[in-house]
Amino acid sequence: MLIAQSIKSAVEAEIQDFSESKLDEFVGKHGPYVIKFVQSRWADHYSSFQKLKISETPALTWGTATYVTPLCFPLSSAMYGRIGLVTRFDPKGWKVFDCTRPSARQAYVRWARAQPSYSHLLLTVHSTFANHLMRNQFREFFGIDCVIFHPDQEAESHTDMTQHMWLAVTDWKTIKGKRVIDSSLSKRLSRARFTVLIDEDFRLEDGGLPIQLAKRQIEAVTEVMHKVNPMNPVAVSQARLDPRLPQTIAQIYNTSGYLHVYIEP
Amino acid sequence: MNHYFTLATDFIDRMANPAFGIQTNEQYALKFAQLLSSEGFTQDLSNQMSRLEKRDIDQLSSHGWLWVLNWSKGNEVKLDDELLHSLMQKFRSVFVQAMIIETATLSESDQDLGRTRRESDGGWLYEEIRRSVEINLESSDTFQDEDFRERANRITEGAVLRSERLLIGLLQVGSQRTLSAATQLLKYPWQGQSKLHLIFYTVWSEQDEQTRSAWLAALGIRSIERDRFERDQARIVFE
Repeated sequence: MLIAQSIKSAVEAEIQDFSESKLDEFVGKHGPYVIKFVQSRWADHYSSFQKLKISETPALTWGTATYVTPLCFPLSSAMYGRIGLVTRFDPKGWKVFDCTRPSARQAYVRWARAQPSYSHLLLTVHSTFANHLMRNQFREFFGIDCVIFHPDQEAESHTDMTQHMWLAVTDWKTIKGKRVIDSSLSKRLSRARFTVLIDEDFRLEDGGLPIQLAKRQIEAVTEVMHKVNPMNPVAVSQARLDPRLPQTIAQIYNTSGYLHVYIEP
Repeated sequence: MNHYFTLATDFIDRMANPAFGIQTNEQYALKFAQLLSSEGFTQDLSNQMSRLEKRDIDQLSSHGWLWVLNWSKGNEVKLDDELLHSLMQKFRSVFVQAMIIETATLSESDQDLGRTRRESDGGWLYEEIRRSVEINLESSDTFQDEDFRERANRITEGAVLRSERLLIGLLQVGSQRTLSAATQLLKYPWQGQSKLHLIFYTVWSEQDEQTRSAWLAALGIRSIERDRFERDQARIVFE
């Protein structure tokens, strides 16, 4: 690749072994687990251990990778779905690029600026895709197994953009002797199981663009309603058999409050 | 026409086109993951992909093609050469072109690695260079009243733009083979060569000193400078 040794060295200086990285701290505190939230329809598929799918969409921050959150920020990425898939992983020997450090971000920017296509990146309408490819090329060239970054989308009261950290984990494939980024199923995050169910639902887009701060759509309302007329939640299996349910609902409707029908274990 | 991809096009678009939003992209990616787990699917898809031809170019959206390129790269699927040339024509973005070049060169045989191809060797990259600098005055039958010189200039400008994109794409991929092809492109004698040299000089001179040296070494260039008298020209001396 056409870059100066000084730029290469600056990036390499930012790449840490897992044992020296923040990832090791996360694993030390809460074990080698990460969590990923997906839509409800995947509850059944992930009721047993399955591999996570590597995300390819150019809309994600660090290119083709599996996007997960260390378990120390358990609800941080809940905006992506109600089903929390947890998987064990083994990060020993991983090369980690910690983009929460300003010096690492600067090293990437310096590398990007030295790319032959840099002016095209600035001047093209296709910058989402261009950035996606550039970040893939960067991770591939330096053999980066994991990028740590601060979330760039936030779910109200769940995500703290300044404190929380998310991970983009790379899976590799060797093609004709060259290590390239895999985009099929993750072998590194391969024992994912439905472990968390969350009530809340978030919007991911705002006017066709990725949302910056997703408001709580349910909790913010129920908080207020509960204060006015507190009601005990009812298990769904109980509610289904309750002959008085229509009456209860009508009564709540005519007074105030709401009825929370929850899925019991 | 490849009917397999006619059926798959909407699915692929929903999986790969960010305009559908992350939620839809991820939902379809997970559906695709289920397919990947089923026996024989990967092989079937790869086989179908290798059968895509130039005439299938309108079967998929832009994002669909990008996804196909990525899949073929990751699964060692050899895409049809003519299809890849047509994709170079279809996509003007240097980033997409870089992806096409990478896909094309990854699928070429190992014995070509590291070798500078001569004209007689053929090869996808050499053919792409030839096509990018091709100036075909006969092919343009518009602007009938246009002066021949003006028409020639306009067509040459088009070729300069094509060759610029190809050059940047080759440099961006940055493999031994594509850098060797970039040298060939810069050396290629044609009407737009001096303009291409000036473009290269401009991009090169924007880099820091160490990067500039790295570029020259990788491309086998001994020296490069702007002409003292003809300021719109750059002089390149190759090793």
